[in-house]
Amino acid sequence: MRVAVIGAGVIGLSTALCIQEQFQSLLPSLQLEVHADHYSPHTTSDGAAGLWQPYLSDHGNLQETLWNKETFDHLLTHSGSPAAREMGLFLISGYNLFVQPVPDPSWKNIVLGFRHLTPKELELFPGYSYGWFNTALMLECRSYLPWLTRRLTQRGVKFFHRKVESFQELVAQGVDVIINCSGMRAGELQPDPQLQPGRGQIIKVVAPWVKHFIITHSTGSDIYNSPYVIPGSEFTVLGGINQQGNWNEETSAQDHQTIWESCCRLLPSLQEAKIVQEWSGLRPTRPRVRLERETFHHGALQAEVIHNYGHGGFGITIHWGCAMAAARLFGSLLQEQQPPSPPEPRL
Amino acid sequence: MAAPKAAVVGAGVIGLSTALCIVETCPSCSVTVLSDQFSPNTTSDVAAGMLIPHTCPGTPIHVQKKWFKETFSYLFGISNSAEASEAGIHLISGWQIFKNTPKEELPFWSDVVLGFRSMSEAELQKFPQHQFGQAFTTLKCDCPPYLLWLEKRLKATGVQMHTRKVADLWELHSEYDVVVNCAGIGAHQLVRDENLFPVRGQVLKVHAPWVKNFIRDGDGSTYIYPGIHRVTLGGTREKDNWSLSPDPGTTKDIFDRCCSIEPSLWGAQDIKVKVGLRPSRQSVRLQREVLSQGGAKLLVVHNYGHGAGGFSMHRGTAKETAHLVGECIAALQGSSSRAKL
Repeated sequence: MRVAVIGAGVIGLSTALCIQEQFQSLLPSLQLEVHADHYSPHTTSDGAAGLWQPYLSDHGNLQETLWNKETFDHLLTHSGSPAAREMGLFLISGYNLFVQPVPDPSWKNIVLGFRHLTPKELELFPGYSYGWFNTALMLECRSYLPWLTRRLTQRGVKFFHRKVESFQELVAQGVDVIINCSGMRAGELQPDPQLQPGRGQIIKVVAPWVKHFIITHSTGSDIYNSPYVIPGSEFTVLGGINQQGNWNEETSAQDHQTIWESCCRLLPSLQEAKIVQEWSGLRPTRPRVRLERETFHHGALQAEVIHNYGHGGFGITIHWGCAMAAARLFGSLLQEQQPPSPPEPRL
Repeated sequence: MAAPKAAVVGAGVIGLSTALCIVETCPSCSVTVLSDQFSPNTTSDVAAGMLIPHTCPGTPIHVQKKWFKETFSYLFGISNSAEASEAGIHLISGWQIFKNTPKEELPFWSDVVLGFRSMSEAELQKFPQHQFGQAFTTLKCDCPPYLLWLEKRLKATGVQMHTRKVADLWELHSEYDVVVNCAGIGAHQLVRDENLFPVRGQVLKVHAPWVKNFIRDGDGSTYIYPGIHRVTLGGTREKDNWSLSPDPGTTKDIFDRCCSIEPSLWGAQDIKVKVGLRPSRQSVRLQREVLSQGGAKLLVVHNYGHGAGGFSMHRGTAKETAHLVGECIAALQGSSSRAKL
């Protein structure tokens, strides 16, 4: 059975690994492949700082909160293991800042040590009058994606460096199941007006004295459209751009100014930080993650498609829960394809 | 009287911060720093520079708290400014963990550091051998940057710094009006203080930039303190051990203990081993003294014996010392004007 995963970002590779780990031994004929035009370090996932943090509100979408929790718990278990370093996984503490009191987030009991900021702490952040402190995790994709790739390669998964133009081209080649983890460009494979770009831009700097993440929020503004500072294992990411509907992947000088000035106001010590890179990418934004099965027909041929895209600015945060859910959909697909068991012989 | 001349003996965190406080409070004073060692070769350079006080048995708690609070406030201001990275000052959060629940509920400094609280059950799961813990945010002074920043500020105000081994304070009596003794462990020899003893500390400074939180065992024996470029792993507390040579067996023991509470450290690279002698005493010696020989006098202010708490108390003790220096100068000016009548 040929299963082709489209996309090699955090969603594609983790979904491939979940399916591989759970079904290879049960289904010796399973031949898993990854097809993608971009691999690490050129995926959207690579541009993300890698902080585990969902949006502030889940809008009643309990399913996504559960997937976020599953991901956090899975990563936390691995954070104390020898593999953590290689995975790019480590604990980090930090601040969420607001200009007015807000309700606690859906994830307050998922992260470690969630609490409100004290008045003394708020003195550090003039202009912000309310905030949270908690310990969360960082998962740096420039390490995690290669780690996933190594594991997949060891297990015989094949990789193809190509742009998939349509589901039919894969079906025509003999692919039985397609796992669609194409992120921002899912609309090119099947139109989806709900999928929109949330354009982001970041500046990577050398600022090793920064040990906390700082995410600010402003009323009336989308998440991540307000300055943020996220220290990684080597570089610190400065950001604060989230432009809905903007497909431009080029970095903008004006956005650079906005990010630089607002982050230096937030953390004056950043004025001495050396800039090493600029990057711009598109968050694959959707009202809800599309995680569902569909049967795709092409003439006489058909294939099962499992969609797993539209993770916006929380792909890393939710990836494992979604990968496990996609693997469950794959499992149910296999069950349906089982021939009916022969009748019990009568005594 | 001509501009009063003060010599500060010692160029570790105590000497340099004291010199700076003297310049700030007595602008008319001419200050010179004399030391046989400067950064990166002082005891301070070995220390992690964490602002977590150690209780001094002989100093009243309210005094220790005052010194700590002054130090914390001073550094808090710098950490929040454009100079933070040059000065090596940064905020850091983490955990103090205990194998057995400590007797005292709250340390005296719990309301000075930020966000102090008990660790949750979920947080403690990361440390299966420990039953209790405290989480908080404090400051760290990285050395050499902090000492170099102090040196730069001193030079900007005209303070001279000379490499010189002072064998006896009296040798300075003809050149200076006031001598400030910040010789740290050197005071054992310099003023023959038998109450001062070394507590040897060996540490490892490793490259592990993914470690963003500090972890400290409440018994003080094991700690992981991430700095700007390196993480300090410690440590030892060997009373009356004067050896400055790193011990390989100790290195392995420190590394093992730290890896057992933070397993990701197994991947740490480029391990450098350092040794420092904490200048320990029942209490910090912070007092005036008058030395006299024949008809000549030398006013001395002592500021040494900070043990494991040098960084935590430095600004507070420096200010108090500068105040005493001010008193000495006032006394000298008083007696010199009386001499004119």
